Amino acid sequence: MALPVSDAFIGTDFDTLPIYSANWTNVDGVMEIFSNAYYPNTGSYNASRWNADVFDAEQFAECTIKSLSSSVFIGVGCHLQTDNSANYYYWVGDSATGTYLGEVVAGSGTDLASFTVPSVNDVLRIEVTVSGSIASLVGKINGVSRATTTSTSFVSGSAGVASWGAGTGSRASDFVAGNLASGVTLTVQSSLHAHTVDSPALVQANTLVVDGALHGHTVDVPVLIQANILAVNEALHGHTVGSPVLVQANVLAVDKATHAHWADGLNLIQANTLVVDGSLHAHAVDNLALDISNALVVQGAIHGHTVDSIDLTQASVLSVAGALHDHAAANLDLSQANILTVDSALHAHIVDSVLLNTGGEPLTGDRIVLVTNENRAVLVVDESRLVDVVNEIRRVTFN
Amino acid sequence: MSKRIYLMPLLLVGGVRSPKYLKGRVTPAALDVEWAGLPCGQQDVMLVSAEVTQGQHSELVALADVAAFPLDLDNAVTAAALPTVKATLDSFDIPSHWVNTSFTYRRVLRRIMRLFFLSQQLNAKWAVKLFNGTITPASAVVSMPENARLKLTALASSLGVDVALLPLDTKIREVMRLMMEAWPKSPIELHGVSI
Repeated sequence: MALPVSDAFIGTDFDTLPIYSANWTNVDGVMEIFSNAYYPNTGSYNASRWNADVFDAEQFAECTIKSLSSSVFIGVGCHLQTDNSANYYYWVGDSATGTYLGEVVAGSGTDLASFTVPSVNDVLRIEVTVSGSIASLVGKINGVSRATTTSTSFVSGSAGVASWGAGTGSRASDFVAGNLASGVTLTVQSSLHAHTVDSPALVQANTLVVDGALHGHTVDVPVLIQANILAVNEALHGHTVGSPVLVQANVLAVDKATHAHWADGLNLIQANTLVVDGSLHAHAVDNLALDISNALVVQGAIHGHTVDSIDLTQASVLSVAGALHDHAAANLDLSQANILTVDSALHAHIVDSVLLNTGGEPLTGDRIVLVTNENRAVLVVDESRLVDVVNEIRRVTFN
Repeated sequence: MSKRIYLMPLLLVGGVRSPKYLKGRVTPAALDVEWAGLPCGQQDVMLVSAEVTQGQHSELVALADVAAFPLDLDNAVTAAALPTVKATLDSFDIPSHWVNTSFTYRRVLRRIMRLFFLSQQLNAKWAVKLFNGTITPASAVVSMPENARLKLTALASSLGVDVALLPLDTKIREVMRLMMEAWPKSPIELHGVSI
């Protein structure tokens, strides 16, 4: 027969297993049929092995619990010896009081592990894997590992059914046994390789080791939970994961010198301090609004102001300290409170038609027009004198 | 709850052995926790890992014939603890002459597990029980019953240890030490924990 094998034990009550089917060989005690299940019929150990197939060293056996009593343990076994040493095997047995993984050597048994009490209709299973001279035993209930241990007592044999105690109160059926699949270990050791598995599910028992320096990961949408640690140690590698989500616990550190920031819509509020340390840079922010708390300091030697229609109020002081500059404001309206001070030596005023309007009032001692040229000055102190000056300007010479 | 590792006796009743202080087939009233163990062949001692609370652990270590390994197996055996460690191992007929302060408890544990594996093979293959009160680890190999001595020699030979080259008065514990050191060094799993 091809493995895995199965048996539902549909037979005549109280037939021993070898009578029920030639596929069974009794190795310890007596196992019989009752109510389409098997049960132990001697007070100590009972076991029968499946003889129709040869099992690999790495094998499993399982059964479904049909009935449980408190003192009779019913179950399945692995590595039942096929030579004359009959009562040697690993087994897992179930009663209403507990479940134990154990071994039987020359008819004497030792409990190797204890785990949860199962219920009727639970699937009880034992798996054995072998590494060298060590057998690893796993006891499972409904596919969930509940106990593991190791032993060197046996490293080969057949699968079968096993029990301890006697009576029909504990029975099992739906026996299934076979070889454990090989090739379940994924080992990647070469230096250049790619991983294209979509949505891999890594459970705790798996270890993925990538040893090479240059490799790429193209897994789509990986989900990293807290328990996972992704460590990339090599210097040259690329990650093509789209849309990673970094939560608060993540820290993004950029240590290198050359990098760029592309943040749009920079909004500077009062609490921010903008410090620009480099010597050559440009600011391209449009519509910069500087309120009264801002100070604009221009320290360079050559610069120009192109703001039209400067409105200077009384509180404002315009101080121009440079040596060579030109004011092109037209129609400068100088009111009494304003002071225009021009300190440097070489400059020109191109204001046309300076009009002094006294409003019809005569110039008094307080209304003085002083025109200076080098060390000379013409002082106009009276409106009539202004006419004279205009009229006489062709005649006045400065010595 | 934590997994703690203990050395404790096996209780033998009617051809069935269960750890003396944990629930088993012949100890149904003992501490009911999940556990897994390694027996030392026919010797009635088991290395057992149990999922226990601090209170349950305190109950177990208060027992005179139970020894617990520290929770952190990577701690070194200190000079102060060394005499107790040796005496504890000796009380279970486990050779202890090789233990010193350069060992961590994990390394001690690995060697004990290898020793237990050797004893399991002696039992499963040839039904040999090494120690019986008269023959102890400190006994000379030549003092062993012939069948046991021949089987021990054969097992040692399978590991590359040639007992015939050893002095006649070589102690069993020294042969066991050589066999423990010759055993493959791969990690050993117990109760889901790699030791």
